[in-house]
Amino acid sequence: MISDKELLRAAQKFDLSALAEIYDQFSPAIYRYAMRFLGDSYLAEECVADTFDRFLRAIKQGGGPRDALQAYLFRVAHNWITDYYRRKPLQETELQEDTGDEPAPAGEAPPASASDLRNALRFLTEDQRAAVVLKFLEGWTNEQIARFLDKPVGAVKALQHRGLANLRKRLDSDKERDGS
Amino acid sequence: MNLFQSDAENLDRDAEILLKPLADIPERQPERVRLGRQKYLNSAKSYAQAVSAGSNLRHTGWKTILFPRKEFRTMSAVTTILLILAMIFGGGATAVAAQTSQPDQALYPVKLFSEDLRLAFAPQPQTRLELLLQFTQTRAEEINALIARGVNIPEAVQTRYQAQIEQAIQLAAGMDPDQALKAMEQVLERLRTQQTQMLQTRQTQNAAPEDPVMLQIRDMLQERIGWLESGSTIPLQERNQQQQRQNQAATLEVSETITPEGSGQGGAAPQDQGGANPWTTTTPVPGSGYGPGPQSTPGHKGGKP
Repeated sequence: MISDKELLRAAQKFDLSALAEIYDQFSPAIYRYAMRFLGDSYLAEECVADTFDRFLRAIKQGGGPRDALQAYLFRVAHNWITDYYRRKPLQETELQEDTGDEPAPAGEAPPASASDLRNALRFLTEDQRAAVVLKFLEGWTNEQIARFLDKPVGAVKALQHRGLANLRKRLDSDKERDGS
Repeated sequence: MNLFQSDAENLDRDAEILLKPLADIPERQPERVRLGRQKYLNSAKSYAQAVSAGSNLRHTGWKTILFPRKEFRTMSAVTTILLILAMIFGGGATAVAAQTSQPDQALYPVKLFSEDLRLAFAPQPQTRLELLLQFTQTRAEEINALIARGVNIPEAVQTRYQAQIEQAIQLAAGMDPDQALKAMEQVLERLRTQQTQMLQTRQTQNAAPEDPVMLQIRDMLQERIGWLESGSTIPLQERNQQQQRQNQAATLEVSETITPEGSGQGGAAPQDQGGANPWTTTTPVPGSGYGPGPQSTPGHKGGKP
């Protein structure tokens, strides 16, 4: 099993098999991450394509990641999503592709639909969004997230607490508004 | 220990329920994956052709000939001395100039540092409270200026604003009973003014999409005003206790040692030290006649860590 560092060293020499290996290893996770926020498979693929293109351009210019390849690629994808959010105002963000909006079983009230949740996530700050989604949906450890956000583990936990609290508050207020 | 574990488990369970709708992502379409991969590898090939020899193969020796490392060290030492002299002789002027700086400007950290310094040298609770209120007003004005310019509000500004508000509330709540009510009203009045100013600024920008940080500031401000109106600082106390437990849990995780419960590893909130002040424990209504207990000390350290 080739390590990330070795893979990266080979990629910096534009070794095509190493570059292909990086794509195969990380693109599914980047896609999932983008898809959770964007809810549109075309947009998520666009995000993946841009992420890897930026990665290629960075290593061509002698930049790019030094060791944390996964964190670097997720950071690029995360910035892409943030830029997309900035370009698209909150009110217009309803994407209709159905991803996980299953009807709830009888007697169990679902907290929100996928699109409601996606919309509510946009009300979190960038760091809160990343801390919540990477931990609870992507299964990263707090140490990995701390490296990704360049913050101490304690701060990551606080971001998760505040992020979830804000998310809940936003969903509740949306529900109240819809109910009234 | 169990308490920390159950906190983490509760958080995980909450998150799982809340985020359930986003847990499942539909399968990626193989054809799109194939096309995306192919495009990426084609780009890589074209970049590979344009790439010159690796840095290890390039001749870079001229750098050490033209700029020997020793010269750099000398230069950096000279630069350091010059910087120190500039800070000694020009520091006062810089601090004054920094007072009008905005969060996206270079001198802003100097402004924050001077605030911390002023607060650290203010021994009287009333002086500290006035300073904190003045700083919250400064934060509110900075936020309004950023909104008016259409600039996103940095999260650090929000965090500092909230911390200073909470410090002011805790300070007011910890004062002598005859002063506490007046102090709480003073904080409440200031927060209401700031809320109105923010709403007015927002109204002039109604076409622009609202910044998530701004929305959180608005919610936070409304919530703190609610606490003051009901005379309760209990939510603040609970949050501090929760944060304290998290910090202790993090310390325990690192050291992998078990500390007996209640050993109070530093940073304990004042209300945990005897719980003598009914403002911060059980009395939700101001003016009910309760004041700080005999063991409480005014001017305790409060606020967000």
